[in-house]
Amino acid sequence: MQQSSERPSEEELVSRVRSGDQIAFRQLVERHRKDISRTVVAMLGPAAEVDEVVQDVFIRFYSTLDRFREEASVLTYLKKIAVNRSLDALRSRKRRLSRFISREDEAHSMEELGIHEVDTLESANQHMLIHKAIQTLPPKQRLVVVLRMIEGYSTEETAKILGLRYGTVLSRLSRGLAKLKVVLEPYRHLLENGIGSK
Amino acid sequence: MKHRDTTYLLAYIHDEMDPTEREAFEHEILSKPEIAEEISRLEKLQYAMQSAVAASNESALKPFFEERLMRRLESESASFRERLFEDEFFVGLSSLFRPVAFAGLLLAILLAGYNVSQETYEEGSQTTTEAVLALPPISLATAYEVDY
Repeated sequence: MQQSSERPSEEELVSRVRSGDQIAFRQLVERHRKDISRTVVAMLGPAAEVDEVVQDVFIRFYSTLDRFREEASVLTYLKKIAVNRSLDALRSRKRRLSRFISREDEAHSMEELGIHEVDTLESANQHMLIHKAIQTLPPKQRLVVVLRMIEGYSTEETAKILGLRYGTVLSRLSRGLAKLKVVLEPYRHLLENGIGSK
Repeated sequence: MKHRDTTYLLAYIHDEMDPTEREAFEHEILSKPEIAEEISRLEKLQYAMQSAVAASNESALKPFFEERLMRRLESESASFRERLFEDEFFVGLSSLFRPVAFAGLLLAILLAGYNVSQETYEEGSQTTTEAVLALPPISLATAYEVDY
């Protein structure tokens, strides 16, 4: 209890960062880095570029702090940046890949993504299966699925973060979930038994 | 299940229904086991996605993340300051030389005007350039004349 009263508030930290206090910035990073990396991991999968994208998010936050209005929380502001940076990373990943793979060769199913064994996938592979399934979604649907299903934001909050209408969030979520259902259908029994449960 | 139903089921799972609607829906679930089954599938899918991401998130950031970030921030701020200094230097330099350049141009125009007004050679014998630069009229013949 004593520790929580000593913990500086977000507003206090933000105003200290604005006046050039780098220790306050570091405290904000420590406070939010796990939440931000979760969004980025969910969007990009467990890739090496996650670390760099999360760094970019905080650098962008630092350099655009003047634009931050305190009506939203720091975390919501950071999530917006994380979402945009993840989309940028996906775009540059696509550009990189397009040099080597033609559009017809792109993976559209789990088999094409290299997931074949369906009966005895160990926990790490089960997680990879889910990541691969999420990666089959188009970025716009993926964003909504990530924020709504993984991050646990409500439909309204998701709409606010993405700057979309409520109905658009619902329709993208429906289409995303329908696609996930199709993609994961061959692995249904794994889901039924509870992927990731120990 | 229709698309609309999936988001409806999610609203139920995430407790986003008003109490009356929720109660009515719970009655419906009791009479339709396929809805309960679909809810259970959605919950399992959500759990699977959350666990996969949580597991990967544990090792997503390389060690010493904060230290690396602070170093990058420092170097980016230093290069930003450097760029800012360069920009300010060149802006300062150009603002210093702008009046000098303007005065030089004005002086050249005045001199050209003076030269034209002071033209001493007979009309038509000098080209415009010769008049502006106050040069004597030069023809091919005069150019070859030896002047001791």
